[in-house]
Amino acid sequence: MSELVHAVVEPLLSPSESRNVAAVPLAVDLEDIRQIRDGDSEAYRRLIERYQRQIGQILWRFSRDSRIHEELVQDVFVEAYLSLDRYLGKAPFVHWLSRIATRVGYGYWKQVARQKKRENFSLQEWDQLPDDSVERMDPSQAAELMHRLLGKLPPRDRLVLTLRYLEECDVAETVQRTGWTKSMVKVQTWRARNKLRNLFKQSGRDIK
Amino acid sequence: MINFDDRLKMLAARARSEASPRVDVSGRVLAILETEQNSLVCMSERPLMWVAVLSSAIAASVMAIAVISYYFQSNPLAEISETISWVMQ
Repeated sequence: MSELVHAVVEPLLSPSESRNVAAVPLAVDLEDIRQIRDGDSEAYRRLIERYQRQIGQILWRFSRDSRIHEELVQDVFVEAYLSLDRYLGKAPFVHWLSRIATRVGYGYWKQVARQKKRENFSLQEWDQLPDDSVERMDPSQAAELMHRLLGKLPPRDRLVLTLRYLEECDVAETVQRTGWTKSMVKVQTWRARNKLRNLFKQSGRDIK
Repeated sequence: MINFDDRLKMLAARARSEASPRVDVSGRVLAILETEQNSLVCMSERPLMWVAVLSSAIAASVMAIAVISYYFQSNPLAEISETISWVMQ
């Protein structure tokens, strides 16, 4: 039964989540959650150890400062514990955690935006990227560039493009992760792409 | 020249293969939760303490009123003790 539930809900996860979650049946998580509700803190330690890598991967898109990144991961697990009663076990636990992680990361971006801090990104960096070398680029360098490029956008636009491009979420997955409506996700994606294009156009760059 | 979206997708694909730094937050999370739970227990015990104090005060005053009423209004032994004292005289 648990395998069946798992198989049904798994398509809701983004490709990276599915790969990692495949090894953990939903029943294992549900049993740990039952024990946590009975007051067993070791069961929660097991859950954290099982999922902190995946949550860390998600939050690395939100902050590339290792100290802040670690704090965000920590906040996700604290928040998850405090709202554990709201987890009904209908979807994989990691899926529910991912939503919390997205909310925590987005909250962090909004906080940074309120302080009027924007990522330092020069469009010349983009110009200097030869088309044929992108595929051979160092992944960390590519991620850093992508992070700073999207950092030029307001948090809402940045979030939708991060989920669509970096997390490879489709519209349905983005709806799940953000809690927005389907049409809002579509409109927001379209607007965010346009804003990004306009950044280049405003600087006089001719983009296709 | 490839278009903007394709270039962005290629860059994103490359960025996706980056591994994030390893984190181990289990110890700290459990410590935070323990502290929070302790403060929650303290918070949840405080109202109970005030309820207990209030009900004790009410019970004590009701008891005092009851004793006073008993002696001054309806002492069932008053008649017998008066009769005994009259006989003794």
